[in-house]
Amino acid sequence: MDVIKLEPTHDKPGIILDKENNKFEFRGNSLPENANAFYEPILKWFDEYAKNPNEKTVIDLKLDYLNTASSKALFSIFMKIEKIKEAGHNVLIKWYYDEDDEDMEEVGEEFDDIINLPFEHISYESD
Amino acid sequence: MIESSLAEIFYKEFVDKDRIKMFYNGAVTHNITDAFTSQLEFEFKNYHYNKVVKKRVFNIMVEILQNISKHSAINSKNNNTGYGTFALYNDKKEFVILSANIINNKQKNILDKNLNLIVNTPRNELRELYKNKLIKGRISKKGGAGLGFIDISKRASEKIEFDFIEFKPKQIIFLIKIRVKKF
Repeated sequence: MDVIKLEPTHDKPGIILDKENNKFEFRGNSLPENANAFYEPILKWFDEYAKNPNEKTVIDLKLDYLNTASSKALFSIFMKIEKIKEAGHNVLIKWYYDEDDEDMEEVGEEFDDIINLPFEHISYESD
Repeated sequence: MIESSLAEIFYKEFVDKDRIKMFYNGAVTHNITDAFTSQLEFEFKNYHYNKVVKKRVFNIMVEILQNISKHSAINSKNNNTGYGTFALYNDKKEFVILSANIINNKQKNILDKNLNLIVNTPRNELRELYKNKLIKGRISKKGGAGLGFIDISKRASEKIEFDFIEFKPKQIIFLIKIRVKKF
């Protein structure tokens, strides 16, 4: 399966989706104006991955800035991961947030509230 | 409600130049949003405010500018370029973000309804409103998720203020003012 590897920029997150190495990661800023266009290939990748997922899928999210259009796109990704879980596979969302950033902590809690996936909320020390 | 006229609100503030941190009037493109947010990030490095405060101002600025570029009624076709006015003031105790753009009657009716719902929702219930919108809302063709003003309200220290000013037939100036306390 194709590997997606995007380097982070000022307004777009760094993304690694690598089935073979069992590494799934989103980090940095997600502020694209057209979140639909940016996340479309990511959603398609998860559609493909869902057909034959790994035994355990751990998604690491370590985001600094998130615009609302990206939140909606992340919600769509979580919906796809929910289907993987419903098919009997083991999944875990690791939501990392800066210990001083109560807003980003809250975003993680809100996702946790509305998505039927196990979340681990992990704070990290500020720079 | 914002009581002053658009000209008063923006230009009266110019008298006290120290308060103005950023001001822009014109086409809001992705590059403009990028430039302003990069500059804000750079300037904030020298401020000792709470990190959350800085991030709130940054996030609100992104939502406001992307809103203008997507939804201003005066825009170039097939392009995310809208025309509007944006200012960031630096007061002693708070940051104030002010923006204005032209909308049409249909947009006014939708915004008026949505914003009244948001300002009349108690702060502790905004989270529920946000979550409901996230579940039910669909991303529009222009990429907006309809979540922006709820998100802004959650980050703002006071209720957001907004107003609609008749400009020309079928054109209305939509004004919004957001405050973020520094401490």
